[in-house]
Amino acid sequence: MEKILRVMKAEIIKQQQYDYHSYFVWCSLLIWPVLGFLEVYYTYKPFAFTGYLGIHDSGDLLAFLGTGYMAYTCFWSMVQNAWSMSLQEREDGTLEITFLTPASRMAMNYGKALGALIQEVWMFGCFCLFVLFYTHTLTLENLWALPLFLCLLLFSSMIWGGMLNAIFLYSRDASMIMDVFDAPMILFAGTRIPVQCFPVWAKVISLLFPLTYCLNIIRFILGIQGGGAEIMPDLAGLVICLGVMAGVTAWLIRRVEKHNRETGELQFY
Amino acid sequence: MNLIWSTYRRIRTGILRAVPWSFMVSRITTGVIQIIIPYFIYVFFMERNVTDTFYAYAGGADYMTYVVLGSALNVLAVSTLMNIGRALITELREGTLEMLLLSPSPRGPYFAGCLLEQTTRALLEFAAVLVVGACCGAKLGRIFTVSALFAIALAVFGFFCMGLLLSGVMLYTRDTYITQNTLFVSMSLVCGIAFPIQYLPQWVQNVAQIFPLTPAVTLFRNVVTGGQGLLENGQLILQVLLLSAVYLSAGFLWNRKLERSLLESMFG
Amino acid sequence: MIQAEHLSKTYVLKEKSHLFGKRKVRQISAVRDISLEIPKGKITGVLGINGAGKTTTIRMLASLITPTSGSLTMDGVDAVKNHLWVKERINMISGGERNLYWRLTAQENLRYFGSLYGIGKKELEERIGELLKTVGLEEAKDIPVERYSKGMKQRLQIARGLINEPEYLFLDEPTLGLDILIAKEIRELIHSLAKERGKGILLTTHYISEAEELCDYIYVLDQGQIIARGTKEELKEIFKVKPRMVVQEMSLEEVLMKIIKRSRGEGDGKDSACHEGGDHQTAAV
Repeated sequence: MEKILRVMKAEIIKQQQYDYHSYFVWCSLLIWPVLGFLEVYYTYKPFAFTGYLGIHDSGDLLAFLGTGYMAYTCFWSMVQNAWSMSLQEREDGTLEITFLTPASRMAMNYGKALGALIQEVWMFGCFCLFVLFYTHTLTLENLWALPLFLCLLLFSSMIWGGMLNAIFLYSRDASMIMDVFDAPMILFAGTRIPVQCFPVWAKVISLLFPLTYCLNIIRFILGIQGGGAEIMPDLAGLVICLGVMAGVTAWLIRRVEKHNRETGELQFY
Repeated sequence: MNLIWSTYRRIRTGILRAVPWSFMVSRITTGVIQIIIPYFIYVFFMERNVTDTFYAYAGGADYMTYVVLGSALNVLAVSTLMNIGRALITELREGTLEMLLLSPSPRGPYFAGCLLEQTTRALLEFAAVLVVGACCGAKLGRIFTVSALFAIALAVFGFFCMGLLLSGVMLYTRDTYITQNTLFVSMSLVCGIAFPIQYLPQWVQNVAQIFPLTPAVTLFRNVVTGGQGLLENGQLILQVLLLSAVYLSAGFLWNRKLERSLLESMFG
Repeated sequence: MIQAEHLSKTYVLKEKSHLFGKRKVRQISAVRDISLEIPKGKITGVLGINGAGKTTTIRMLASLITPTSGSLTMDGVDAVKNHLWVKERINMISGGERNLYWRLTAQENLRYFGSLYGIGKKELEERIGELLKTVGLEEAKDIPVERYSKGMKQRLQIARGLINEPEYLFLDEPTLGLDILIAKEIRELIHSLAKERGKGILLTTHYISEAEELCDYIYVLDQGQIIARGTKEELKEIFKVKPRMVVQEMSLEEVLMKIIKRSRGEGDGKDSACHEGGDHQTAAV
């Protein structure tokens, strides 16, 4: 256990020291999300609020979108980081050297994901927290919920990121899969539109995304409308999703290493 | 003319060998998402409660048609800008730019070849988005009129001219990813794709006028949903042409300067 | 001792002509039926021209890739099955400038790689200090690797390769592209690792003089097969090469060494020239 924590810590520190493409990170994880956030906010402008699902005015909407965007950006940063790191580490030949060590592959994987999260998402996180304070969603009374909310978000994103890292170890060309996968997540996971208003078929699809449960729980904790009315089903859903993802990650990593030991592909780029 | 064809053929074969499916898929998905999200908001969440202000701003167009036309033209813009903008830097990355710069052929036909090659693909993406839009209830009956086709052609020309300047920017910064995405994210926010730009602050509306997409999308909507003729939209057409002229000359001048300094750094 | 018996490696290449085309499967046999031993405290050389199969061999022995057939044991333990156990006890260093995080400093690189071996903080810091001293990078330890010269990067690679105090060390062309002075320093370091610290070393190289200077036992590889093996004396014996007296002009390499040493005020470099030039005096024809 001590060794595993040591490996994770080393990965987090390395991530911070390496500071993968600072411009790239600034643009892709601060400026683009902020512009995208504004675009969605304005997309709602042509409509008259009816109070449906508890969203009465633009303040309610901002709080809803703020949480949605923050959680989505955490998940999205995992996609982007898995992609750029796998490329960079292959090119530098460091990926193979890390596989030359006996370090726990799962720990390396999760360390990478957590390191990237801490390093990359804080800027946009601050923006979203500002939105939440501005709309009085977060006040002094419910400030206790903030650490809970952040831990939940970090933990879920880390498990998600670990799975993506494993996928990108397997293939250098996984970017297209991500493209196709990313769009449904935006739509169905409730980042921009409350899942509760969806027709049944769309609700069923939304159950496939861990982000859906994560967002519902976050919104429940913060008392934001447009989320679910009960927390237990979502909590159960999230636990199952995270469990499945961790299982898939473990299986993938074992397979990837076996595959790479047969083909020697880790050294290619 | 020969050069246009040979450029067309060369890019075409290159593309057929290494199909950039990922770019096409990602642009179509983005376009479709740009329709589906407003559709979900409109139908399921806001239950078709569109304000009168919107109708006033949109000139009476119904919501879905408004959004679909905007999104489709945006896909066309992104595709054209991306293909033209990336043409030279791709040659640079593959190491073939040297040969191109050394050959005596003028740059104009080269880019025209790129345009010809890419327009077929861009129109395919454009059509894909329109089909999805029609399924979502957009009324696109008037898209096959002469005026609408003219509006599309004019828009492509405007994007092409802007693409030339973008090509210079990319060659100068040696970056494609950050430049193109920052541009596209900004354009889809300010050019009136998913909502009328009148909702934005006045200064942002003013900034939006520098993108050919802003007048082009208004023109396209006026023609398709409002059933207006081209003459009624003379001012918009003029704006696109004017912007095109500015981008065209700026792009050409800058590219020429860049080429000179590139040649010097290659052989100097 | 690491013992390889009848190792073979076949790569399966899948090629597609176009997107929906049928996959062609091609088999490439990189290494065929290789048996070799790496004893502790000795330097074992694998020589061969480019494409002979040296890198595949070393990567197989370092348990980075699995052999298609044959057996590989380390101190009697099956190294293919227990590759993580093996990885704790070995390390590999390749020539060239890859395999390091360029934006990290030497110290940060070593700390990271050390942590992957689960070494405790205090022990790790001590080890890093020692290693930086051994490879002569103490002063540059806080400079990002991207500002290092080729030789410095190679020395840092060696420090990285020693961070887990491996019992066996695999060196893949460790002096590739380095100038003669630094190459010589690195050769001396390799020599002392085997002789003074008792590590079992496998060295691949295509610089024959390097192999002659360092290796206790040599395997010659061509087209994926071992075509000759033995000590350097035994190899020379194959063609009954007798030592002969040759009057030879000083080579340009020796002259260059002398010039550099003189300008640095390090004596006239006579000793090293004799040592370096050892191979020229008994040049085999």
